[in-house]
Amino acid sequence: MKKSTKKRWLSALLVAIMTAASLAACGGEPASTESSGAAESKTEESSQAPEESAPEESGEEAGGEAEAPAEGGAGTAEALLLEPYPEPVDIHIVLQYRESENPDTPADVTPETSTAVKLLKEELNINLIYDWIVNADQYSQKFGAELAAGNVPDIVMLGPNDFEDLVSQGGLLDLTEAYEQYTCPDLENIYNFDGSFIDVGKKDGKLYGLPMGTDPAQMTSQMYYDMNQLKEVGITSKDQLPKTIEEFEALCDKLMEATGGPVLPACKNYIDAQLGDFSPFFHAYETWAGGWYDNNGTLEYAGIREENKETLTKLNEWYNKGYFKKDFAAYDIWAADSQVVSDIVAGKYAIVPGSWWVPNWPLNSNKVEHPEADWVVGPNLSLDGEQPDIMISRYPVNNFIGVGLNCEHPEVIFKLIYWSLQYTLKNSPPEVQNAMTEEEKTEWNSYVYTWVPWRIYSPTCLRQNFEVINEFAKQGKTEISLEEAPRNNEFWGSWASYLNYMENPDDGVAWGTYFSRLAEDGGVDNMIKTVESANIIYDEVYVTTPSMITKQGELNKLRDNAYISIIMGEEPVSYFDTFVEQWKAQGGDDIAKEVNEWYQNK
Amino acid sequence: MADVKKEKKKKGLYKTRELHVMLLPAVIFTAVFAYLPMFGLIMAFQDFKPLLGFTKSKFVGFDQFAYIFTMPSFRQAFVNTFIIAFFKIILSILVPLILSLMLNEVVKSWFKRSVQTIVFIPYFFSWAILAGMLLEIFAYDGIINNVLQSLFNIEPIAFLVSNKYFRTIIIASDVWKGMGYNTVLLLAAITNVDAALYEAARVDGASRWQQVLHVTLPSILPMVAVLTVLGLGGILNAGFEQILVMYNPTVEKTVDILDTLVYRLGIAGHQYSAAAAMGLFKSVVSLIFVGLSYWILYKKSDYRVF
Repeated sequence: MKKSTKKRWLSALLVAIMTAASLAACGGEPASTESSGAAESKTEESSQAPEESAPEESGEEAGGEAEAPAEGGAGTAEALLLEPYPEPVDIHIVLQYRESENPDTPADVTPETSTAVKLLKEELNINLIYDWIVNADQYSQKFGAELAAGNVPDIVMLGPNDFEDLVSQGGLLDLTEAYEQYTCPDLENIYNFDGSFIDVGKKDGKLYGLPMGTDPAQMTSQMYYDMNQLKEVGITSKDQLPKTIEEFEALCDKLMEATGGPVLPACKNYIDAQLGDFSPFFHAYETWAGGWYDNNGTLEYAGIREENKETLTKLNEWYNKGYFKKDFAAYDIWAADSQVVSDIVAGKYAIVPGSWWVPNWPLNSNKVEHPEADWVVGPNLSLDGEQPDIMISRYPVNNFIGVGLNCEHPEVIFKLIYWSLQYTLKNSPPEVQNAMTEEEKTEWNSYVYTWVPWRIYSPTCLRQNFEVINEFAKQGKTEISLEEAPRNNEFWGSWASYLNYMENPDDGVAWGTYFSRLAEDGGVDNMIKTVESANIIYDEVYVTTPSMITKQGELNKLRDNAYISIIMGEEPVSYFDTFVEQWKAQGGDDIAKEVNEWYQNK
Repeated sequence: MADVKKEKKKKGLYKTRELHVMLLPAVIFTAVFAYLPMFGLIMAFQDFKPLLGFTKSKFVGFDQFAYIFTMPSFRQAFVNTFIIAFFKIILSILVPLILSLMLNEVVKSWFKRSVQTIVFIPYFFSWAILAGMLLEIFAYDGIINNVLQSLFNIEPIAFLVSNKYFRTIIIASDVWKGMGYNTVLLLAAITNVDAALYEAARVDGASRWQQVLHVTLPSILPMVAVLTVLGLGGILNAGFEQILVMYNPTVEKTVDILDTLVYRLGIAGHQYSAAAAMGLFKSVVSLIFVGLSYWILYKKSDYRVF
């Protein structure tokens, strides 16, 4: 009995992760690319002025594109991109994946045997060869060991540190020429959505990697409340939800009394998990655990600001009160079979802090098990009830995609990305989906075709789809033509989830995708509102300096240990000063010097 | 004269050729896996970039050593390694010693045999499996806390993130896992004690306790000495696998050891040179200890390992 329930939720969870992973591409799977120390760079790397991104414009641009690019005439980039190689070309890649197999995925559907890989061979004459595939938490070790042996894959997705490191030792091909020849608006939407994003991948004017970014707004966190559970403590309408830290604490106290606690999910990824982490509380105090902000022309590190003491003191107070699990720091929320996630799914928490995609996973699984759950997004917490300042990165780079030095075809990366985008756009519309055989559908829904080391995610797509679909909804449309659809990889998925939700509003999974992406006051809507109403402080640094490569990891660890020790009461809050001194002495000062030098000469 | 000697030597070699051939695989194995990689140590003195190779990477002398010696996590790992290894070495002798002496006194042989088997079992499990079990047992809502709470009314303790307890758990679990092996070794030594000695002791009116103290213990002392001294060579091997699968960032302060640091820095962090420097340093310290233990053994008990 127990086993079967476990199995059931496990399958639900896996479906959900898969949906999250595929739909949200880079945005929704925060920990999937880097684990441990490297994950830092993710939180701290995020952004770009929201007002600068122009979804409409890019939509038009893309829309104006030839629908069937192959007919765009010889010589255009689109035609070149779809031209097969005369001789078979072997492309070696490596892959990290997260525990995410769709339970319905047939055992024989693996990345290597997927239809997409077969079609690639047929249509472009490219043999995609997976040299190795490992779980995401093993990736950095495996990659390090392979690199030590001098093995660089032909197409490789790299975090900012590794990108810098590989470029410095000549591990990546210069893509400048290929870029000029092969880029096209559909592709620009992905790696150069604002017309200057691509520069992040350049060194001395030469392009070594295509930057994969996300919408800066995606780094914001929100507070999710289960109104159904809150009824028990007297909260019956949304406007009774806490706005200030004080009100929030009062609510938690009530919940503590009612349930005995813990009342807030927490994990060892206490600041960058994007789910069950402390970032909304840091934000409430206008404090940040990392990031370099401009203070009168000089870049300063936010993680060592005196103000952080206040936040840590409060968190320590909450820890002592029992809001969090006493040994929360032992649990990785991104580990397979995560205890924290299963607690959330089981409905142990009425409050879940997290990113915009949280309804899509794991709250949807919770709703599948507890259909009575009624999740809403509450106000962003602050001290005075007003929207606090938020910090987002100037450029939201998560990864770079480069071509390894042993590859003879630098242009292949453009062909692969473009082909993947076409493949997704072609197969996503509802008519095509409905016409698929059962077998094809199963394979499509297993998302194995996304298991490649490149992304086709356009950073502007979340906003674009939110606006476009809500517009269609207003007009009462239930069918749209190919011409009307924006050409981003997520559109049809979002559209389908809209239709699905309209048909099955009680289905937890349908609710999850709809509420995260499209619902008014849902995940994306709140995320947009937050960045549009908040005063924004930019994390200016989107480069990796030499000291960062060697010291950032240790420094982040130093910070994490100090913060967690203070929160758990192992050290008094005055320990913060010791930490700051150590941070400076152990390389923080060196990094500060380097980033400021870079900043002045930028 | 010299020719004759040479001839003799040659003849000797020829005579024992089968033995030498049998030795060959071991020699080749050692050469390939122990001596050949030593050339790689050059990277400890370089700013090694794998794609540039040994020839093109920049030579930086002792910079990497200066870098690791100023690294606080290195100092911490070094101290932790010593503490953990020290207790592991001592306890993994002491516990089996007591256990084997006790087992030796057991009269019922079926009981003795089953206990022997039971304590030996954990030795065969890999740390990956045991760690999963141990982490569950010591979890905040795990068995240990449940027992403490229901029997002694003690507030649950967050063992897994506690810098106060976690090191003890690491040491104790390692001793528990390995105790079966040494117990069997020591039991074998005890069985070899000349029965005449016991008879003589009994004739002199020695009690069972006195027999243990004056006959068994002194007789197996050389064995204990060998085990201890051999363990000294591994003073900087505090158990990489065990700690890697059991620790978490919160308890790094007390259980991070040199090997886990090398792993994080070199393999996960891609700082190959710094990791190599750390590895080399560890080897040098270990060498000193091996030399020392060899010397002690030679002086005290005239026992030569090599």
